[in-house]
Amino acid sequence: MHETSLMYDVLRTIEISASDNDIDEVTEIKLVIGNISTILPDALRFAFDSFKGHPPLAADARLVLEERLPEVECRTCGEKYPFSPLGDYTCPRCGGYDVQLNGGEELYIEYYKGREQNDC
Amino acid sequence: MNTIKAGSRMTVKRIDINTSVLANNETWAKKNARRLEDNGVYAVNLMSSPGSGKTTILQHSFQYLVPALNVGVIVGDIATTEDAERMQGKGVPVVQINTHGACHLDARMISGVLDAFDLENIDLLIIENVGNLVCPADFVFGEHLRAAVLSTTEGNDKVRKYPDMFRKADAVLINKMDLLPYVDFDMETLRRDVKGVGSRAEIFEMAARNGEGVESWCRWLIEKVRG
Repeated sequence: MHETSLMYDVLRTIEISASDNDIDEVTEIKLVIGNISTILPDALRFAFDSFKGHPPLAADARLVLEERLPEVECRTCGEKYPFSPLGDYTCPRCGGYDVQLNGGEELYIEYYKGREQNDC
Repeated sequence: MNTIKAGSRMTVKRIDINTSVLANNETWAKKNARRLEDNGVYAVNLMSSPGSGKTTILQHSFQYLVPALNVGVIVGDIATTEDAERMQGKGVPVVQINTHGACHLDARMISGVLDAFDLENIDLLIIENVGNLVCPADFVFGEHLRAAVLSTTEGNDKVRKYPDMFRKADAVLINKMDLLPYVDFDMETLRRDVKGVGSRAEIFEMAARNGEGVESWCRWLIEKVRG
C-alpha cells in the first residue's frame, strides 16, 4: 500500500549514491523483495513507471525485481521445507504447526548500474 | 564495485549498495531508539484492525500501569482527536497524530511528537497505531515491544490472512472475550495459528469493555519495562 513512497525513497537513495559515484545515467536497478514482506512487486513496478523521469538520471533505467521465499522450519521435528504462499505452513513430515520462517522478509536495493560522467 | 566496459565509449559501473528499501524509516527509527534509550523510556507499538479495542484496552490499562510507571501515549488516526479525548483525565499525557490519509504511523512522525513529552519523566510510551492489519507491520519506530490486538468478532482467519502482523508481534491481545458465546471464534485454533505463522508471541485474553483480563497483560508489560 505504501509502495509509491518506498519507490520514491529508492530513487532518492540512488540519486544521492549516483552523485557520489559520478554517475549521470542509471541503466538498471535491482531490488530484492521477500515474499512475506507486505510489499507487492507489481505495485512497486507501477510506482517506478509513474516516477519515470523523476529523477531524470533514471528515466531509462530497467527495474529488476527478485522475489525471495522464506524457508519453513518445523520447531517440533526440525524438518525444513519450502514455503507455501497460500499460508499453510504445516510440517509435511510430522504434521506439526509450530514453525519458524527463515528469510523472506528481505527488502533492499542490491545494486544499480550506471554510466559515468564525461566518459565519451 | 564492478566496472564493466560496455562498448568502446561508455563505462557502465555496477554499484552494490545493499541499502534497505525502508532505510529512510529505519534511520529515523534508530534516532528514536537512541533518544528513548537515553531517557530510559520503554516504547510499545500497539497495532490492530480498526474497532478491535486498542483505545478501550488502554483506557482500562491505565489503572494498573499508572500506579507503577510514568506512562505517555501517542495515538495515531487518519482523522479526529476522538481517541485522545477518550484517554484524557487519567493523569497520562496523550498526543494525537493525524495522518490525513496515511495508513500507518512511521518513525519520522513519532520523532516529530517526542518533543511534546517530558521524556526524562516517562517510563513507558505506548504508541497506538492507525487501525490496519497490513502496513503498520512494516514500519518500526525504534520501539521495544510490538503488541497486536485481535477481537473475537473479527474471526480466527485474521491470523492466517495477515500473518506478517502476528509473526512480528511479541504479544497478542485477544479482546471481546465476553462475546465468545455469540461468535465463531476458537481459542485453541488461535493459539495454533499464532504458532503456525511463525510467531512466539505471548497471548492474553480480555474483555476490555468491562476490564476483564486487562490486569494480566499490564502485569506482564510492567515486568518487561522493569526488565
